[in-house]
Amino acid sequence: MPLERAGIDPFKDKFPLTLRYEGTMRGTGGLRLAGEDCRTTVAGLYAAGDAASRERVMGAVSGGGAYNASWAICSGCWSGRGAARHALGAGKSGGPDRRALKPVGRHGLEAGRETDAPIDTTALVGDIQRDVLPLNINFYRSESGVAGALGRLDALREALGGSVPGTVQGRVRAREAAGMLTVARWMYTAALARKETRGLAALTEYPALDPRQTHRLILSGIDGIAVGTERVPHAEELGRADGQAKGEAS
Amino acid sequence: MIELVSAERCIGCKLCVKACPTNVFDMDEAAKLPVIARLEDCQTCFMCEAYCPADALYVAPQAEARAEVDEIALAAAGMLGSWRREIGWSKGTDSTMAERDTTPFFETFTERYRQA
Repeated sequence: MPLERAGIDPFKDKFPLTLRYEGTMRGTGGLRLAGEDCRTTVAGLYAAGDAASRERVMGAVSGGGAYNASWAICSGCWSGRGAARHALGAGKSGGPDRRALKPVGRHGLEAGRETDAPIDTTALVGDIQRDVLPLNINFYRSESGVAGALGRLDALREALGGSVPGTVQGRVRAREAAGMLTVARWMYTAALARKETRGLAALTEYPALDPRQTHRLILSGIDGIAVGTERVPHAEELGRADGQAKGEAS
Repeated sequence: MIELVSAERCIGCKLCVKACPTNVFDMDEAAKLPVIARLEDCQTCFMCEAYCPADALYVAPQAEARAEVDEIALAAAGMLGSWRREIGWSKGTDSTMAERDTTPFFETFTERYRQA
């Protein structure tokens, strides 16, 4: 419809194309699901679709329309049901709304303020995008390129210590910027932790798949990011098969 | 991006303010008119136009650049409300886009493949 409205016949006329992407690897990374109802390790927080990690469905690749649509529908139903069950328990004694809850969030919130100068969210988002959107950093990944970007992103954390605008939009923007920055740092930390090329994860210095790295990367933390690994089924068999292949070749 | 809120056509129902997924509009309560308050947040999704019961909005297909629009010319060309009519959301439209869509679902392919 936009083409039609612009008077362009896509079958006959030339028109400009541009690459539009948000810079993350979506299905290959996301909030780690901790149960079949799409719960996360944060009580009451459920994840679905692109926000949830999809590696159990797709492995190291991103999948295509069919898998992704299926995942969107399934995880949406499961997480919705899970969240509804959680909410239904709220009225009961000991249920979620009877607990003495207090906010712990700081990043991009008033609670994390260290200076009186307001957070310049437009500038901050621009700074984050300068290290996330360029294909030369984020698609054609090299260890040095990703490490450089990660260093610059780490330095941007200081900007989140400013005061948060009082408007609804301003508060959402500040929290969004904090989220963008954290996701970008998680993404590049994970990229550097996988010294091989597998599925969508690639580093020019390590162009081949390394069977010993047949594991999932589990990241946690915001100020300091910890990287752990999780075993996947049949990883040992892959390693053995690789060893045998190399033995036969020599 | 959203380029036109027709003051003449708008009935002040606020549906566009509510439907916009990126909160582009503010409501001017005094004038009873939605105001394009955050044009830079418009994603050119045409949602506001689809919801507008008065055919008072026009989203230009240019998602990155401003486009000059002229309400009288748009109305004369039948562009105001055209997307809503296209998808079958206007009163009195004979069919919806879904009904006119003849793309076969995958079951059709599966059935054809099975018979071959």
